[in-house]
Amino acid sequence: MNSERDALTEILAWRRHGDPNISAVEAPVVKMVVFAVGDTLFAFPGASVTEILPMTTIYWVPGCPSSLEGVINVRGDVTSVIRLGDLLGVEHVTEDGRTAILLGHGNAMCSGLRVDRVLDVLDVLEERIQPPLSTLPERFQPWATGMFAYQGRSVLALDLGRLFQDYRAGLA
Amino acid sequence: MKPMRPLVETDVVATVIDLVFFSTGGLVCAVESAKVQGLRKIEESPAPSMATLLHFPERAEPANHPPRQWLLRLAHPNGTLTVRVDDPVLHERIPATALYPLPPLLEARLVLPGVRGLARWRKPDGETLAIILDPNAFKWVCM
Repeated sequence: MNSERDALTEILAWRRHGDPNISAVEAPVVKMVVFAVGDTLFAFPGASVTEILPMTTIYWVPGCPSSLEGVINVRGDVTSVIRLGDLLGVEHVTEDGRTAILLGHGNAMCSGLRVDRVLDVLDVLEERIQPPLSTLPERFQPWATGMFAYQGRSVLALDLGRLFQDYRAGLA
Repeated sequence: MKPMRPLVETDVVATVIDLVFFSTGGLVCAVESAKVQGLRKIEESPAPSMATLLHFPERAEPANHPPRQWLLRLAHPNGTLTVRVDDPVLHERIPATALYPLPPLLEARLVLPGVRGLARWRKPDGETLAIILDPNAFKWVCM
């Protein structure tokens, strides 16, 4: 029996354990959920998003602002659904089968957020997240925390806790 | 010796509740059955519909299949409040676990008086969420 390690074994060991000659550099990363509303890309920190739900039956409740679409039943729990585009001043684009509801939490509140499509959940190096541009449209500014590039496009990161807080206070 | 903690009388939380479900303006709503004083077939009556009291539009029903309407008599601090509601009107006992308080953002932005919570209700044709209403919060309409 050949006891020598063959190339495949070497490669698999390297894939399993990494190259001992290369020391890993711990760079702080933040998980981001990237999604689109209309043509604009946004992101929430992954820590703020509990779940990405497919489109489901939304029960309308009278007496709510139009941005509050209604409530959904999530495995026996009831939560509200907000049309995120209405808060951000971005028109929703309905694409069959791609609309999703992000189940988010922040500032001790939880709600669903209607988005047009979820593109990715990825780790972004913190150093790659730039402060929001001063030319950012005013409607995004209250909740913008930073910007980063994704597939050659700009993504605006949002603070979900602040957004919920402002929404509850009637500011959004 | 440690002082004894005073005894606190705890409320016993009911595990079931009786609700009367009905439709109005295309929505499924419910009130506590304890607030319902009566139900009768509608004849000529100027009673407002529940949808009107709640300030939401009555759904346009096809003229050839209008829903059957009933007069629901509800206890109100000023007397009996009579309102029109749509079929089906059903009295059901449901578990407390099927009741939900309003989600916080919805509660904060809701302008409609009288919405107490939500109830998961298994209708004959599938499950739905009913809006639980409190007649005490409705504007008094003397009939």
